[in-house]
Amino acid sequence: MKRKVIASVIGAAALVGLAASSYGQGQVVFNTYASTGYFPVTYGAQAQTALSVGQYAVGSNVNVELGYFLGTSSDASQFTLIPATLEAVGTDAEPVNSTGPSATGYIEGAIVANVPGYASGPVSFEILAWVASGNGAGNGSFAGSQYSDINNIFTWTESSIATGQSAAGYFQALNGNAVLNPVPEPTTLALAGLGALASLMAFRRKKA
Amino acid sequence: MRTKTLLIAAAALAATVISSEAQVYSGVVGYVNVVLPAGTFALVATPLDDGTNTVTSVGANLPNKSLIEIWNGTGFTASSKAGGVWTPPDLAVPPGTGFFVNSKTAITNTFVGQVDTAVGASTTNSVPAGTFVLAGSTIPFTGDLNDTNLNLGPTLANKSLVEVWNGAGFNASSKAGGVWTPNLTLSVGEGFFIQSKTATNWVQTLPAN
Repeated sequence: MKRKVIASVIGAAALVGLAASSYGQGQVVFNTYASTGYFPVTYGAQAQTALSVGQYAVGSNVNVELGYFLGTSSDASQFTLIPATLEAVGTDAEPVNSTGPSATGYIEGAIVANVPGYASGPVSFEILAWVASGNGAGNGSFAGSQYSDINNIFTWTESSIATGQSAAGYFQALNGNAVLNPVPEPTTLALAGLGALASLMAFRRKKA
Repeated sequence: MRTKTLLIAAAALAATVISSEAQVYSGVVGYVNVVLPAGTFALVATPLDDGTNTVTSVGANLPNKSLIEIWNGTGFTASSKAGGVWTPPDLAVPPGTGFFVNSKTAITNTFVGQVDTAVGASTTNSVPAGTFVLAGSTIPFTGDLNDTNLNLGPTLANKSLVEVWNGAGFNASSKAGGVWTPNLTLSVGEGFFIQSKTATNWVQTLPAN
Protein backbone atom coordinates (compact mmCIF):
# COMPACT_ATOMS: atom_id res chain seq x y z
CA MET A 1 0.00 0.00 0.00
CA LYS A 2 2.81 2.34 0.99
CA ARG A 3 4.57 1.51 -2.27
CA LYS A 4 1.42 2.36 -4.23
CA VAL A 5 1.15 5.75 -2.55
CA ILE A 6 4.78 6.54 -3.31
CA ALA A 7 4.28 5.46 -6.93
CA SER A 8 1.28 7.77 -7.25
CA VAL A 9 3.21 10.67 -5.77
CA ILE A 10 6.02 10.10 -8.25
CA GLY A 11 3.42 9.87 -11.03
CA ALA A 12 1.90 13.17 -9.95
CA ALA A 13 5.30 14.80 -9.81
CA ALA A 14 6.07 13.55 -13.31
CA LEU A 15 2.81 15.03 -14.57
CA VAL A 16 3.59 18.37 -12.98
CA GLY A 17 7.03 18.32 -14.61
CA LEU A 18 5.47 17.55 -17.98
CA ALA A 19 3.00 20.38 -17.61
CA ALA A 20 5.72 22.82 -16.64
CA SER A 21 7.87 21.98 -19.63
CA SER A 22 4.99 22.16 -22.09
CA TYR A 23 4.13 25.69 -20.89
CA GLY A 24 7.72 26.94 -21.02
CA GLN A 25 7.29 29.36 -23.89
CA GLY A 26 7.21 33.10 -24.23
CA GLN A 27 5.68 35.17 -26.97
CA VAL A 28 6.46 38.55 -28.41
CA VAL A 29 5.41 40.27 -31.60
CA PHE A 30 8.35 40.81 -33.95
CA ASN A 31 7.59 44.41 -34.85
CA THR A 32 9.66 47.56 -34.47
CA TYR A 33 7.12 49.90 -36.08
CA ALA A 34 4.89 49.92 -33.01
CA SER A 35 7.21 48.86 -30.21
CA THR A 36 8.34 51.01 -27.29
CA GLY A 37 10.43 52.81 -28.67
CA TYR A 38 10.56 52.24 -32.37
CA PHE A 39 13.65 52.35 -34.47
CA PRO A 40 14.14 51.38 -38.12
CA VAL A 41 16.91 49.38 -39.70
CA THR A 42 19.32 51.91 -41.20
CA TYR A 43 22.25 52.09 -43.57
CA GLY A 44 25.63 52.83 -42.00
CA ALA A 45 27.92 55.51 -43.46
CA GLN A 46 29.95 53.13 -45.63
CA ALA A 47 26.84 51.44 -46.99
CA GLN A 48 25.29 54.81 -47.77
CA THR A 49 28.30 55.75 -49.87
CA ALA A 50 28.68 52.39 -51.57
CA LEU A 51 25.02 51.99 -52.42
CA SER A 52 24.23 55.69 -52.91
CA VAL A 53 21.34 55.56 -50.46
CA GLY A 54 20.24 57.60 -47.49
CA GLN A 55 20.62 56.49 -43.89
CA TYR A 56 16.88 56.09 -43.41
CA ALA A 57 16.01 54.66 -46.81
CA VAL A 58 15.96 50.96 -46.00
CA GLY A 59 13.19 49.24 -47.93
CA SER A 60 11.75 45.84 -48.58
CA ASN A 61 15.06 44.73 -50.11
CA VAL A 62 16.24 44.15 -46.55
CA ASN A 63 15.40 41.03 -44.57
CA VAL A 64 15.42 40.64 -40.80
CA GLU A 65 15.38 37.73 -38.40
CA LEU A 66 15.01 37.63 -34.63
CA GLY A 67 17.25 35.75 -32.24
CA TYR A 68 16.88 35.28 -28.48
CA PHE A 69 18.84 34.43 -25.36
CA LEU A 70 17.16 33.42 -22.10
CA GLY A 71 18.60 35.95 -19.66
CA THR A 72 20.70 39.02 -20.20
CA SER A 73 23.37 39.02 -22.86
CA SER A 74 24.78 41.14 -25.65
CA ASP A 75 27.06 38.38 -26.94
CA ALA A 76 25.58 37.50 -30.31
CA SER A 77 27.26 34.10 -30.27
CA GLN A 78 24.95 33.06 -27.42
CA PHE A 79 21.73 33.77 -29.28
CA THR A 80 19.41 31.32 -31.00
CA LEU A 81 17.64 32.40 -34.16
CA ILE A 82 13.89 31.96 -34.63
CA PRO A 83 13.59 31.04 -38.32
CA ALA A 84 9.84 31.70 -38.41
CA THR A 85 10.53 35.40 -37.89
CA LEU A 86 12.41 35.90 -41.15
CA GLU A 87 10.69 38.64 -43.15
CA ALA A 88 11.30 41.72 -45.25
CA VAL A 89 11.05 45.10 -43.55
CA GLY A 90 8.13 47.39 -44.34
CA THR A 91 7.99 50.51 -46.45
CA ASP A 92 5.88 52.87 -44.35
CA ALA A 93 7.66 56.03 -43.27
CA GLU A 94 7.48 57.26 -39.66
CA PRO A 95 9.58 59.71 -37.65
CA VAL A 96 12.18 57.68 -35.78
CA ASN A 97 10.75 57.04 -32.30
CA SER A 98 8.20 59.83 -32.90
CA THR A 99 10.70 62.67 -32.84
CA GLY A 100 13.45 61.76 -35.29
CA PRO A 101 13.68 62.13 -39.04
CA SER A 102 11.16 60.38 -41.24
CA ALA A 103 12.36 56.89 -42.02
CA THR A 104 11.35 53.63 -43.60
CA GLY A 105 12.90 50.32 -42.56
CA TYR A 106 10.58 49.33 -39.74
CA ILE A 107 9.61 45.74 -39.09
CA GLU A 108 5.88 46.06 -39.60
CA GLY A 109 4.61 42.51 -39.65
CA ALA A 110 2.89 40.77 -36.79
CA ILE A 111 4.77 37.51 -36.57
CA VAL A 112 4.42 36.14 -33.07
CA ALA A 113 7.90 34.99 -32.13
CA ASN A 114 7.76 31.99 -29.80
CA VAL A 115 10.64 31.79 -27.36
CA PRO A 116 11.07 28.18 -26.25
CA GLY A 117 11.99 27.49 -22.66
CA TYR A 118 10.96 30.92 -21.43
CA ALA A 119 9.11 31.01 -18.11
CA SER A 120 9.78 34.46 -16.63
CA GLY A 121 12.42 37.13 -16.20
CA PRO A 122 14.67 38.88 -18.67
CA VAL A 123 15.14 37.71 -22.21
CA SER A 124 17.55 39.24 -24.69
CA PHE A 125 16.94 39.67 -28.39
CA GLU A 126 19.04 40.32 -31.44
CA ILE A 127 18.00 41.45 -34.88
CA LEU A 128 19.90 40.16 -37.86
CA ALA A 129 19.43 42.46 -40.84
CA TRP A 130 20.82 42.13 -44.34
CA VAL A 131 20.32 43.30 -47.90
CA ALA A 132 18.53 40.31 -49.37
CA SER A 133 17.67 41.48 -52.87
CA GLY A 134 19.01 43.90 -55.43
CA ASN A 135 22.34 45.67 -55.29
CA GLY A 136 24.64 44.17 -52.65
CA ALA A 137 22.45 41.18 -51.86
CA GLY A 138 25.06 38.57 -52.73
CA ASN A 139 23.24 35.26 -52.58
CA GLY A 140 20.40 36.80 -50.59
CA SER A 141 21.18 35.08 -47.30
CA PHE A 142 22.50 36.70 -44.14
CA ALA A 143 25.81 34.92 -44.52
CA GLY A 144 26.06 35.68 -48.22
CA SER A 145 24.91 39.29 -48.28
CA GLN A 146 27.41 42.06 -48.92
CA TYR A 147 25.62 44.41 -46.50
CA SER A 148 24.42 43.35 -43.08
CA ASP A 149 24.80 44.01 -39.37
CA ILE A 150 26.99 40.91 -38.98
CA ASN A 151 29.89 42.88 -37.51
CA ASN A 152 27.75 44.73 -34.99
CA ILE A 153 24.61 42.74 -34.34
CA PHE A 154 22.02 44.78 -32.52
CA THR A 155 20.95 43.29 -29.18
CA TRP A 156 18.82 44.42 -26.27
CA THR A 157 17.07 42.93 -23.25
CA GLU A 158 13.38 42.85 -22.34
CA SER A 159 12.62 42.51 -18.63
CA SER A 160 9.88 39.99 -19.45
CA ILE A 161 7.57 38.83 -22.22
CA ALA A 162 4.12 37.24 -22.29
CA THR A 163 3.60 33.56 -21.58
CA GLY A 164 0.73 31.10 -21.79
CA GLN A 165 -2.59 32.61 -22.77
CA SER A 166 -1.50 36.19 -22.25
CA ALA A 167 -1.39 38.06 -25.51
CA ALA A 168 1.99 38.55 -27.10
CA GLY A 169 3.00 42.19 -26.84
CA TYR A 170 5.29 44.48 -28.73
CA PHE A 171 8.84 44.98 -27.51
CA GLN A 172 8.93 47.32 -24.53
CA ALA A 173 12.60 48.15 -24.24
CA LEU A 174 13.81 48.62 -27.79
CA ASN A 175 16.47 51.32 -27.65
CA GLY A 176 18.36 51.19 -30.90
CA ASN A 177 18.50 49.71 -34.31
CA ALA A 178 20.27 47.35 -36.66
CA VAL A 179 22.74 49.13 -38.93
CA LEU A 180 23.72 47.76 -42.31
CA ASN A 181 27.37 47.99 -43.25
CA PRO A 182 29.57 46.39 -45.88
CA VAL A 183 30.68 42.87 -45.03
CA PRO A 184 34.35 42.36 -45.89
CA GLU A 185 34.68 39.60 -48.46
CA PRO A 186 36.65 36.52 -47.38
CA THR A 187 39.35 37.32 -49.92
CA THR A 188 39.72 40.79 -48.46
CA LEU A 189 40.02 39.33 -44.99
CA ALA A 190 42.57 36.78 -46.20
CA LEU A 191 44.65 39.49 -47.88
CA ALA A 192 44.45 41.60 -44.75
CA GLY A 193 45.64 38.61 -42.74
CA LEU A 194 48.51 37.97 -45.12
CA GLY A 195 49.45 41.62 -44.97
CA ALA A 196 49.53 41.54 -41.19
CA LEU A 197 51.61 38.37 -41.25
CA ALA A 198 54.07 39.91 -43.72
CA SER A 199 54.37 43.03 -41.54
CA LEU A 200 55.04 40.91 -38.49
CA MET A 201 57.74 38.89 -40.25
CA ALA A 202 59.37 42.06 -41.59
CA PHE A 203 59.31 43.53 -38.12
CA ARG A 204 60.97 40.44 -36.64
CA ARG A 205 63.62 40.38 -39.39
CA LYS A 206 64.40 44.02 -38.71
CA LYS A 207 64.62 43.36 -34.99
CA ALA A 208 66.98 40.40 -35.54
CA MET B 1 -33.86 40.83 -44.89
CA ARG B 2 -30.39 42.33 -45.02
CA THR B 3 -30.28 42.39 -41.25
CA LYS B 4 -31.40 38.82 -41.07
CA THR B 5 -28.77 37.80 -43.58
CA LEU B 6 -26.09 39.57 -41.63
CA LEU B 7 -27.15 38.15 -38.34
CA ILE B 8 -27.70 34.58 -39.37
CA ALA B 9 -24.01 34.12 -39.43
CA ALA B 10 -22.46 30.73 -39.60
CA ALA B 11 -18.77 30.51 -39.26
CA ALA B 12 -16.18 27.83 -39.05
CA LEU B 13 -12.95 29.02 -37.53
CA ALA B 14 -9.57 27.85 -38.59
CA ALA B 15 -8.19 24.58 -37.36
CA THR B 16 -10.03 22.69 -34.69
CA VAL B 17 -9.91 25.33 -32.05
CA ILE B 18 -13.45 26.54 -32.21
CA SER B 19 -16.35 26.74 -34.58
CA SER B 20 -19.52 28.67 -34.22
CA GLU B 21 -22.90 29.41 -35.70
CA ALA B 22 -25.50 31.93 -34.78
CA GLN B 23 -29.22 32.50 -35.18
CA VAL B 24 -30.13 35.88 -33.83
CA TYR B 25 -32.94 38.27 -34.64
CA SER B 26 -32.46 41.75 -33.29
CA GLY B 27 -34.61 42.53 -30.30
CA VAL B 28 -35.50 38.85 -30.08
CA VAL B 29 -33.82 36.10 -28.18
CA GLY B 30 -31.40 34.18 -30.32
CA TYR B 31 -28.45 31.90 -29.90
CA VAL B 32 -24.82 31.46 -30.84
CA ASN B 33 -23.36 27.99 -30.98
CA VAL B 34 -19.70 27.54 -30.27
CA VAL B 35 -18.06 24.14 -30.71
CA LEU B 36 -15.51 23.52 -27.97
CA PRO B 37 -12.95 20.73 -28.10
CA ALA B 38 -12.20 18.67 -25.00
CA GLY B 39 -9.42 19.69 -22.66
CA THR B 40 -8.18 22.53 -24.83
CA PHE B 41 -8.38 26.25 -24.29
CA ALA B 42 -10.64 28.06 -26.75
CA LEU B 43 -11.02 31.82 -26.90
CA VAL B 44 -14.68 32.74 -27.18
CA ALA B 45 -17.04 35.67 -26.67
CA THR B 46 -20.77 36.02 -26.66
CA PRO B 47 -22.47 38.98 -28.31
CA LEU B 48 -25.70 38.17 -26.49
CA ASP B 49 -27.11 39.56 -23.28
CA ASP B 50 -28.54 36.68 -21.24
CA GLY B 51 -29.83 38.85 -18.43
CA THR B 52 -27.19 38.05 -15.83
CA ASN B 53 -24.02 37.60 -17.90
CA THR B 54 -21.93 35.70 -15.40
CA VAL B 55 -19.82 32.56 -15.65
CA THR B 56 -22.79 30.70 -14.20
CA SER B 57 -25.10 31.77 -17.01
CA VAL B 58 -22.71 31.62 -19.97
CA GLY B 59 -21.21 28.35 -18.71
CA ALA B 60 -24.50 26.71 -17.76
CA ASN B 61 -24.15 23.95 -20.35
CA LEU B 62 -20.48 23.21 -19.78
CA PRO B 63 -19.62 19.95 -18.01
CA ASN B 64 -18.07 19.69 -14.57
CA LYS B 65 -14.30 20.09 -14.43
CA SER B 66 -14.53 22.84 -17.05
CA LEU B 67 -12.70 26.11 -16.61
CA ILE B 68 -13.44 29.70 -17.63
CA GLU B 69 -10.70 32.32 -17.49
CA ILE B 70 -11.45 36.02 -17.68
CA TRP B 71 -8.85 38.64 -18.51
CA ASN B 72 -8.35 41.18 -15.72
CA GLY B 73 -5.99 43.49 -17.57
CA THR B 74 -2.76 41.83 -16.55
CA GLY B 75 -3.67 38.17 -16.10
CA PHE B 76 -6.62 35.87 -15.71
CA THR B 77 -9.25 35.31 -13.07
CA ALA B 78 -10.54 31.76 -13.24
CA SER B 79 -13.74 29.98 -12.34
CA SER B 80 -14.16 26.21 -12.38
CA LYS B 81 -17.21 24.01 -12.37
CA ALA B 82 -17.74 21.20 -9.87
CA GLY B 83 -20.99 19.57 -8.85
CA GLY B 84 -22.80 21.77 -11.36
CA VAL B 85 -21.61 24.94 -9.61
CA TRP B 86 -19.15 27.52 -10.87
CA THR B 87 -16.67 28.76 -8.27
CA PRO B 88 -16.60 31.69 -8.04
CA PRO B 89 -20.11 31.88 -9.51
CA ASP B 90 -20.51 35.53 -10.31
CA LEU B 91 -17.57 36.59 -12.43
CA ALA B 92 -19.03 39.01 -14.93
CA VAL B 93 -19.01 38.16 -18.63
CA PRO B 94 -20.91 40.98 -20.34
CA PRO B 95 -21.57 40.84 -24.08
CA GLY B 96 -18.44 41.73 -26.00
CA THR B 97 -16.11 40.19 -23.43
CA GLY B 98 -13.67 37.59 -24.66
CA PHE B 99 -12.78 34.72 -22.36
CA PHE B 100 -11.00 31.42 -22.41
CA VAL B 101 -12.95 28.19 -21.98
CA ASN B 102 -11.45 24.80 -21.31
CA SER B 103 -14.26 22.28 -21.53
CA LYS B 104 -13.77 18.90 -19.89
CA THR B 105 -15.50 17.21 -22.82
CA ALA B 106 -16.13 18.22 -26.40
CA ILE B 107 -19.37 20.15 -26.52
CA THR B 108 -21.33 22.59 -28.64
CA ASN B 109 -22.00 25.36 -26.18
CA THR B 110 -25.01 27.52 -26.85
CA PHE B 111 -25.04 31.13 -25.75
CA VAL B 112 -28.62 32.40 -25.51
CA GLY B 113 -29.76 36.00 -25.20
CA GLN B 114 -30.46 39.09 -27.20
CA VAL B 115 -28.48 41.70 -29.03
CA ASP B 116 -28.48 44.85 -26.95
CA THR B 117 -28.23 47.08 -30.01
CA ALA B 118 -31.51 48.00 -31.65
CA VAL B 119 -31.99 47.72 -35.38
CA GLY B 120 -30.52 50.77 -37.06
CA ALA B 121 -28.79 51.86 -33.87
CA SER B 122 -25.14 51.85 -32.87
CA THR B 123 -23.20 50.66 -29.88
CA THR B 124 -19.93 52.15 -28.71
CA ASN B 125 -17.15 50.18 -27.07
CA SER B 126 -14.42 52.25 -25.48
CA VAL B 127 -10.98 50.81 -26.16
CA PRO B 128 -8.17 52.24 -24.00
CA ALA B 129 -4.74 53.07 -25.36
CA GLY B 130 -1.78 50.73 -25.02
CA THR B 131 -3.55 48.09 -22.94
CA PHE B 132 -4.56 44.62 -23.93
CA VAL B 133 -8.32 44.15 -23.92
CA LEU B 134 -9.89 40.74 -24.42
CA ALA B 135 -12.98 41.46 -26.47
CA GLY B 136 -15.55 40.17 -28.90
CA SER B 137 -18.04 41.80 -31.19
CA THR B 138 -21.20 42.99 -29.42
CA ILE B 139 -23.14 42.38 -32.62
CA PRO B 140 -22.86 38.90 -34.17
CA PHE B 141 -20.85 39.88 -37.23
CA THR B 142 -18.27 37.82 -39.00
CA GLY B 143 -15.65 39.68 -40.97
CA ASP B 144 -12.02 40.46 -41.46
CA LEU B 145 -10.08 43.43 -40.16
CA ASN B 146 -11.15 45.53 -43.13
CA ASP B 147 -14.83 44.72 -42.64
CA THR B 148 -16.94 47.83 -42.04
CA ASN B 149 -19.78 45.99 -40.28
CA LEU B 150 -17.43 44.56 -37.71
CA ASN B 151 -15.69 47.95 -37.95
CA LEU B 152 -12.80 47.07 -35.67
CA GLY B 153 -9.91 47.24 -38.12
CA PRO B 154 -10.99 50.50 -39.79
CA THR B 155 -11.47 52.09 -36.35
CA LEU B 156 -8.12 51.29 -34.79
CA ALA B 157 -5.11 53.51 -35.42
CA ASN B 158 -1.81 52.52 -36.97
CA LYS B 159 0.47 50.60 -34.58
CA SER B 160 -2.55 48.81 -33.10
CA LEU B 161 -2.55 45.06 -32.64
CA VAL B 162 -5.20 42.33 -32.83
CA GLU B 163 -4.50 38.76 -31.77
CA VAL B 164 -6.56 35.60 -32.22
CA TRP B 165 -5.98 32.32 -30.46
CA ASN B 166 -4.96 29.35 -32.63
CA GLY B 167 -5.32 26.68 -29.98
CA ALA B 168 -1.75 26.84 -28.78
CA GLY B 169 -0.71 30.44 -29.18
CA PHE B 170 -1.67 33.63 -30.95
CA ASN B 171 -1.84 34.79 -34.53
CA ALA B 172 -1.34 38.52 -34.58
CA SER B 173 -2.08 41.32 -36.99
CA SER B 174 -0.54 44.78 -36.81
CA LYS B 175 -1.71 47.93 -38.57
CA ALA B 176 0.83 50.02 -40.47
CA GLY B 177 0.14 52.61 -43.11
CA GLY B 178 -3.57 51.88 -42.76
CA VAL B 179 -3.09 48.23 -43.69
CA TRP B 180 -3.53 45.19 -41.46
CA THR B 181 -0.87 42.54 -41.87
CA PRO B 182 -2.10 39.84 -42.06
CA ASN B 183 -5.80 40.50 -42.50
CA LEU B 184 -7.26 38.21 -39.84
CA THR B 185 -10.86 36.97 -39.92
CA LEU B 186 -12.95 37.33 -36.77
CA SER B 187 -15.96 35.06 -36.36
CA VAL B 188 -19.19 35.13 -34.42
CA GLY B 189 -18.55 33.87 -30.92
CA GLU B 190 -14.82 34.43 -31.14
CA GLY B 191 -12.82 36.38 -28.57
CA PHE B 192 -9.67 38.28 -29.48
CA PHE B 193 -7.12 40.56 -27.90
CA ILE B 194 -6.99 44.21 -28.94
CA GLN B 195 -4.16 46.58 -28.15
CA SER B 196 -5.08 49.96 -29.51
CA LYS B 197 -2.40 52.57 -30.09
CA THR B 198 -4.81 55.33 -29.10
CA ALA B 199 -7.91 55.54 -26.92
CA THR B 200 -10.65 54.73 -29.39
CA ASN B 201 -14.39 54.39 -29.54
CA TRP B 202 -15.18 51.22 -31.47
CA VAL B 203 -18.60 51.89 -32.93
CA GLN B 204 -20.73 49.14 -34.42
CA THR B 205 -24.05 49.63 -36.13
CA LEU B 206 -26.83 47.10 -36.53
CA PRO B 207 -28.10 47.80 -40.04
CA ALA B 208 -31.74 48.56 -40.59
CA ASN B 209 -33.69 46.39 -43.00
